[in-house]
Amino acid sequence: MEKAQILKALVEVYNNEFADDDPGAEGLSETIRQAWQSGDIVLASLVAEIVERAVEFLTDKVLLWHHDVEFDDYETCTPDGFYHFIAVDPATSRCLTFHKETPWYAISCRAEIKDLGQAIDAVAKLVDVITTNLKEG
Amino acid sequence: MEREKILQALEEAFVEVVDPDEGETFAEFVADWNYDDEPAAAWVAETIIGAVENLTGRKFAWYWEPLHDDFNLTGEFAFVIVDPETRECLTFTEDEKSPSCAIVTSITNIDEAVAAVECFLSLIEKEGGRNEETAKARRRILGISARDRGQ
Repeated sequence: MEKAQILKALVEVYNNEFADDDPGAEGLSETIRQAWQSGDIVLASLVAEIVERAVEFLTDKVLLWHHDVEFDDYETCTPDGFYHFIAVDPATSRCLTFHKETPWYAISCRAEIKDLGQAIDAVAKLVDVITTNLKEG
Repeated sequence: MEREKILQALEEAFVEVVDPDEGETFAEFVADWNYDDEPAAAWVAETIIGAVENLTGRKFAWYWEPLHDDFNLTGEFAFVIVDPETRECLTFTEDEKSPSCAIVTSITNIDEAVAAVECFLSLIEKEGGRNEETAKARRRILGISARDRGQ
């Protein structure tokens, strides 16, 4: 999937569901950067949700998600820019982020999201894993 | 499953996972683990996973995370289990109001640990039962008898 297509989906989702005044790619980029630099868990969760909605937009599937925002340590609960995403198809209860990972199977896709480019990469990875699982279904 | 059997499986898994100090039991450890301590949370979760897999004789794909409030771990864990053969999410719940793919459970003492193992065993058993029913139906439809299958 082309990066331009993913960027368009991310901006579309951000403008329509998460922001006022049509902030576009610049606003989205700023939100992602802030989520990491401010160490704000709420903002980090928002970034995770934007990624999830973009994946649904691109796969044309409504999915059940579980995401985890990683921390530097549990005393400060400061997000470190890494996320785990798990997607399940609610119609079949199949895990769509399931993939082979050395030495065993993984349920979640781990992604580093500190800027817009990494958000695009995360969406691309999720779309790829989910599409592969849907084809194999 | 009998509580004694689950307790034994937990203690055995604890030795496999943690390699504890001599004489330290999982029952003591789980009652004392510090909620600030991430490695301790990992030991609790991995012990539960080890016990479930030893009792079922199967390996599953797991995801777990310790839950936290603003400053500390709460003693609760979210677990996701997937059957690697069917890729079915065994912890998926279809609750219309709040469907979820994770089971959240508190593990701060041995009773809660036993309850968590019982919960996971029942989820796995339910799936196994369903698969066996499907297999029986398939054999019936295809006219495959036990003898045909070499049994």
